[in-house]
Amino acid sequence: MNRSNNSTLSKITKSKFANLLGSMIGLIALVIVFSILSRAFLTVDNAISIALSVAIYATMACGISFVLIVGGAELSAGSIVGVSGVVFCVCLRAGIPGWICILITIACGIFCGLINGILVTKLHLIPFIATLSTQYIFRGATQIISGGSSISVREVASEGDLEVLRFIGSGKIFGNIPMLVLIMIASAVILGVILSKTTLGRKVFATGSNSEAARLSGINTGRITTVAYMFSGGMAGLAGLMLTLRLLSAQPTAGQSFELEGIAASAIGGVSMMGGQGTISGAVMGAFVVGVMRNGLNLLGINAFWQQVITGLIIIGAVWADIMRKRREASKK
Amino acid sequence: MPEEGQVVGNERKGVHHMGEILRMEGISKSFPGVKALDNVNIVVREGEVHALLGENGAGKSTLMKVLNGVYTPDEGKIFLKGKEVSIHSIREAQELGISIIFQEFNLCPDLSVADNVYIGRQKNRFGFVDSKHVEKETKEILDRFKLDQIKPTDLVRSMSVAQMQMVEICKAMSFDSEVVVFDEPTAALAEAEIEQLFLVIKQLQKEGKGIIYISHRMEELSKIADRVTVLRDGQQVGESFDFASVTLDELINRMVGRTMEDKYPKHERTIGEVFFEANNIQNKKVHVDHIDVRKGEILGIAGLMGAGRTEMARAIFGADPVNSIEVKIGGKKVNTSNPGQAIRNGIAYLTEDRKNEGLALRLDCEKNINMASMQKISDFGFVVNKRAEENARHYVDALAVKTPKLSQLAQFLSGGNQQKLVLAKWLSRQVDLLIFDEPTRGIDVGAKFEIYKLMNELSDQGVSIIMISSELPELLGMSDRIALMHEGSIVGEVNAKETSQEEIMEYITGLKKNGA
Repeated sequence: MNRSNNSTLSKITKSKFANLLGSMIGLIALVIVFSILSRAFLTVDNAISIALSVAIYATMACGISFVLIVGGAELSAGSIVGVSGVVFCVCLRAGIPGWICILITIACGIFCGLINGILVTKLHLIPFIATLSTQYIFRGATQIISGGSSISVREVASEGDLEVLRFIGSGKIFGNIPMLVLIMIASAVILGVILSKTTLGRKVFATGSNSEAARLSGINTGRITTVAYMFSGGMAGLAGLMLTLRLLSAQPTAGQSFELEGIAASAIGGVSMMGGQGTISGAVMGAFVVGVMRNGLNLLGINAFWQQVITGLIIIGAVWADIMRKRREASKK
Repeated sequence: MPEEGQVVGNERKGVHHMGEILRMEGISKSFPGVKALDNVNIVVREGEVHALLGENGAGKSTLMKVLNGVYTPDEGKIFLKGKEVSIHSIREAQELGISIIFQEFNLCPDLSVADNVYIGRQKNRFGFVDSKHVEKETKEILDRFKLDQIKPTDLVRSMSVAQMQMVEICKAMSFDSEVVVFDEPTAALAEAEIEQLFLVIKQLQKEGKGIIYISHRMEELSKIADRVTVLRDGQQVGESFDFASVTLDELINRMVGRTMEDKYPKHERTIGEVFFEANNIQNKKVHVDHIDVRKGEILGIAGLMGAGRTEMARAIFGADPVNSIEVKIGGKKVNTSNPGQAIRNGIAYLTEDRKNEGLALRLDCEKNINMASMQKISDFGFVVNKRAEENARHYVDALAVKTPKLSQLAQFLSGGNQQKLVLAKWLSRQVDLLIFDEPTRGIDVGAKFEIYKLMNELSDQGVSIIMISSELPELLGMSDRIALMHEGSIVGEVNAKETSQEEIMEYITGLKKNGA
């Protein structure tokens, strides 16, 4: 009866963007509510500060989404952030040119991901356990490499490098846009394209959706899974670099519990914890939902304890809405 | 048709002159597209082993699932000791005294025998499990069947298959079951273990239980069966009869005895040279010396459940580890050590379990169809959407897959259309050898016919086909040759035009060997 009225709406909800739609509506709703409640909210400066606050989480969430979509788990990303931060500073201290240090740092993250991948695909550990173990191992490595104390970039970088590194960490470009936000956007676009436009991305989805069917279709599911962990590791390494440059110091405790932020962002953004479903844009959007919520509550003077409670509620709400949408879809058939 | 002497429904429990324990009367059950059971009547008496026979898909399992409450029959009544009962769940069936020992056991491997037997019903004492009591009760049951090699405290994980089966039987006895159903109990047992099982069954008989015994193994029935009911295509073939009154040949005849209907598209095939050859396939479940398929030929594989047909196919395709195998394609040795290699060498395998192994149900039609054809739809690793869609569209049209759109998730398609989707995946890849494992299981008659037509078209194009099927008429109707498997080996080979279901049955039940 009301089919004709709803046809455009249903077309949208059924389309590829259906996954995104939930978090997008949530995000818009949050923006509207906070705009009404706080004058300071809807300003360019505040928008930029929100973007800056989520840049590192969103970068990690992109990588974590890869692992979640392939059907894995990723609890070690926060520790990878830590280890790559100190590796970066140690490399600088050794007198290696800054840009090579950056490459080494990301490679370090990718290597950590490779270890996760090998544990899962060769040793057949449950992803949860594998990455829980490496969370400890990588954190321990961070402490060992740094000797348990923080390393200041100012002290270890050469004059010339410091200028550039400081610009990456806190500089702005195109007038007002922080470099870190730009890096986040660029990496999200690259990963998004890989996931949605390449055969690799298709293999990731196929493996996450039904690994046996994928294997019997000739897909090397072990390799694809490992590659997904390497993407996640690499993004965590990049996030570690971003964090170090922003603070101009590598802390042995840096990145602790960041992986949970990344997983939360992915979940809010419609990435399935069972694998096979999700988008990079969704994960980024999820990170923004959390960021906007925190920022808005800060402006309203609501304390951080309540923000945690509300973050949890948002995850529940987002995932529940997703489940309801799928049920409705299924019952229509 | 109610038999004379039927026990009146309202008579008190315990009064059952005929010694009749179970009566299933006029049972019918339909599923969309199939009549699985059509007016089946079966009576089991006290102390009787009642054999239930029929080909795969004849309706035996459905009938048993009606008996234990998994399915509600569309029509018909069940009487237990003369009282009409209606059964809605396995638990209810157990409490009424009906237990089924399935091929797949329902045991928790990390619990003890006693805990398994009394699972969910442990006696409590002040809220704590009284394990002494449970162990004592279990011991009593074990003693009753002289199963002294099993202790109530043994962990199930460390037991042999035969012992696990005994635990299942003890579990049934702990419910004081009056009717015990054995579903292919000897499929996984060694000779000595079968003897032990029969001793246990004899003990059950002595205690006056009614036993329904489902088996494909003709040889062993003569040792144990008293009466027989035969099912075929969901219908009962005549009345139940005494086992002693018929010969094995007659029995097989009754099981398969239909004339071949016009269910298979007539086709003349042109068969070429030997294209595919596999030698010395050895692993845990397969011991095959040689198998070959010619160009454009359909080779059928017949065998009972557990004969190693699927395992052989998976070994050829590189899906399971093997101890040894040699695969030749066009006379050249090729590597098929994993599915990717096998596919690159032109081999495809359509699994019997399409939901768990064939399709990614949560992905859409297009992605499923293109899953094995990534090269075809991409440039430099980037998917060209237009090409991907055109390719999928082509096969959706060619196979008449009924789907509203390409972006429909595979889980929302019907069984037949899902099967076509799997087929589309492999047609898109354009392989030279297709291994079909139960290609028409669970799909309706119309879709079956279309799949058969497609197989014929493929063989016209020179594709070689291996078809594993449990439906003998399908094998006879579609194959050129049929290889016969029994207990992991190929025990014979017959020409489909010259053989009969009876002959195939003799081979695959182990009565006959190496006639070819």
